[in-house]
Amino acid sequence: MVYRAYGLGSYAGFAILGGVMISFWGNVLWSMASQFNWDKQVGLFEIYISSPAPITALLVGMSLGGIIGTAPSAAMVALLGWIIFAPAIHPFWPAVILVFSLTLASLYAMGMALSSLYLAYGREADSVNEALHEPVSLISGVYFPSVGQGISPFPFAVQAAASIIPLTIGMDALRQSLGFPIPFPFIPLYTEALILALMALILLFASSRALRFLENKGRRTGSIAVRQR
Amino acid sequence: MSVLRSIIASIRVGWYREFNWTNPLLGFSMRTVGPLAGVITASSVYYVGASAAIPSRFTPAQLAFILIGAALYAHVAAYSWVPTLAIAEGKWTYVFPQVYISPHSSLPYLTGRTIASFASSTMTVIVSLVLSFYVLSSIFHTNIPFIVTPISVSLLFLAMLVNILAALGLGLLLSAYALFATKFEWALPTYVAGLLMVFSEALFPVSSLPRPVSDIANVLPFTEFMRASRQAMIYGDMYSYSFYLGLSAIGGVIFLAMGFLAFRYAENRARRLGVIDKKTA
Repeated sequence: MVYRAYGLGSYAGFAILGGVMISFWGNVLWSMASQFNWDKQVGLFEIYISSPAPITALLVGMSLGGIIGTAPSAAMVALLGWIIFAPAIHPFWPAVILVFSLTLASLYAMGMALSSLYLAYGREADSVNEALHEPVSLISGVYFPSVGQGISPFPFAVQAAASIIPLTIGMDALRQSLGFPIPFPFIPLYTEALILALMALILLFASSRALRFLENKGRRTGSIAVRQR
Repeated sequence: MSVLRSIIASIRVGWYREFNWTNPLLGFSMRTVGPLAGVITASSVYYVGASAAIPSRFTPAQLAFILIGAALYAHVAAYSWVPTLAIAEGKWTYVFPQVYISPHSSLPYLTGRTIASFASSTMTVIVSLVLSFYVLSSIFHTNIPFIVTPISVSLLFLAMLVNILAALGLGLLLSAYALFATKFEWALPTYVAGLLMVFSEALFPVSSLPRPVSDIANVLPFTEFMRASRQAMIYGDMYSYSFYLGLSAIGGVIFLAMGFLAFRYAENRARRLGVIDKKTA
């Protein structure tokens, strides 16, 4: 609406794509990252650790559940946005599907890594989530291209820092694969796909190690299921 | 007098809830980051789109319009949901049933929590407004036409104070629902916040919405609050400021009355049905 209200309707596609991806980012932050913390509060976490399933497997399952649960609302945003604003796009669908899948994989792997961090937190988790949500949305370029010469309003240092967030690379790759009007791509599309795949693997490995470390530490000190309020 | 004491005690509870989990400076900083990022995001959306248009459609006056709207929207969004969340969270932490069983304390409790959140979000939003003013002036290489005088800032504060009526009314309306809900009450404020962003003239004039939606948005007290605040900080027309502030006050009183009646009705019904401490469906 902001783009259209100021006569910039041709950019509405940026915001629609942002609306779709912000649903997943919110799900990663509020349902993946802080999930174990909430489960601790209601006593579910004790059940998880007493089951023979590895915690990483539980988180992978939660990720898939989160993606499936968020998909309807994201699809609704995309559909309504497409009907109301009719953005001019020229998608190359195989690339869109590949990049979208890799973006979700790296994003949810980041959620798993954050969940290990939040496992150690108490009620700070909510405040950390609130503090992270908007700034990450801003520098990742959810509603406008935050990286790329000639279109990003940010200096190069900020763009470089933003590039270590999977959402930034994913958004840029999605904009390219959907054929949005971007004068100079930040990084070529298939290089971005490769970076996203690497990010997913690294974050998955890091989250697995961090969870194992915290689980072992929690078992030794007997504090793994302590509810912190 | 006991009502006043209850409200003051609830304000203290609200502040402890918001800041006591860490040292006050860190808590305040973390609460400022979100609104600041939100204001810069909204302004950047406009800047990127307007600058890319040929010829450029960027004007500092429109940037100021968006900056004020985004900051005040973050302010309203930060505290108007507090009554709803105080009930939802209070059910899980057993605080709300305790509050409820002490005589005539639920409304003072929710009012006190709202005022505490209003005070803290006023501070964080003022800081984020000042910071975003300097950050955006520097990044976009422009002069944002704000009127910054003791009078204009005082008028902005006055508008913010008047808007408590409407925000508390909205909070009580949602709280009436939260007394019965067991899951959706957590998500409801987010959805209402999204609607408020569209209908309160936070980021764009409501005249760009289709009728009759624009007619409804045009009379909401939140819209009048945004207009009054912009008159104080950008346009400097005292007559228009007073007019919009008056409409905001009238709309706020109506919202508050509706919220009060809805909450009282819901509370009596929830008491009869025994769902005050209900946590699961």
